[in-house]
Amino acid sequence: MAFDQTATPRLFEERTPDLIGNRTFGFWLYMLSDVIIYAALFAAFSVLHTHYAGGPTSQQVVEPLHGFIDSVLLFSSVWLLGLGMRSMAVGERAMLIAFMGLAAIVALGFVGFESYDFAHALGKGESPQRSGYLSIYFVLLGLHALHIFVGILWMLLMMVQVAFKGLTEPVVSRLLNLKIFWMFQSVIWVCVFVFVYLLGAVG
Amino acid sequence: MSQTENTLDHVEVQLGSVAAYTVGYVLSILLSGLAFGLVYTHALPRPVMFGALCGIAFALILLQMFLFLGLNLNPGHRWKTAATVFTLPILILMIVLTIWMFYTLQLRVMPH
Repeated sequence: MAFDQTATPRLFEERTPDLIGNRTFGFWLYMLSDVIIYAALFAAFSVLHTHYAGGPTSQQVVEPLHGFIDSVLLFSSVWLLGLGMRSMAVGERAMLIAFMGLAAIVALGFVGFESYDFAHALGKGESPQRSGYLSIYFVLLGLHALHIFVGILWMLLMMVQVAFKGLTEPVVSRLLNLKIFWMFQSVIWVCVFVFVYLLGAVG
Repeated sequence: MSQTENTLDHVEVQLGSVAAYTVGYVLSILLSGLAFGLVYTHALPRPVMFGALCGIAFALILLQMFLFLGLNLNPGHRWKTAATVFTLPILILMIVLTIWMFYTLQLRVMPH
């Protein structure tokens, strides 16, 4: 093969700033640091999960069926947002808004169901102050529920932006970050479901 | 309008597919349902149950990392995968060393 003198060496190639690539990579690193916060909480959970201090045990606190219903709701929301992202990739704004709306509604069901569980536990006197186990239970699940709540607000905001601004480069990069955020919450939920709900029920 | 078309051609926008999300969704529901079923029916003795649940959690995490988050080694996504892989030792050190530290602390300071 002959040497192509017109080809510029890659090192000197002029690069256009890649807004979407830079923003999604930066947000990806941010989400990895978020995962490290969760890892610290799971490390605390691994120590505190048997520290009942005479209070209710994990078998009395967690309801594995509720954990499974929460899983189905959250995975459904992630799937719906994924379908919305595919609509975005082909430029279907209306479908993107519709799928995001559905994903937000399903996620609202998740937060509502978890809040009901929290209120029920608090009503029985199972407050975070009661024992080390209940402290880490409320902090871990509460932080995850807070993330989901923030994600719902983010979806509502993006629905407005897609409707009024269209699929411009900044809007698309925010949508991609929202997707990364949402799918990381799904991975974290797997750990919450298996280690807090299921192993908690096994005891 | 051409700007929008260029934007939507970006490798990050084109990441993922309806098939990947749907397969990931169905498998996630099935595996978490399996884990729930094992616990609900008390199908396994406690140590085996612990191993089975950890295995299912590991499978679910890998499945979602590949099918939902779209981890791969294509040039456009390589650095995300590299950053994720380099985060794993930190996660393992944090969790495993904490468990080990408190376990041996219990053995050394608590009266038997």
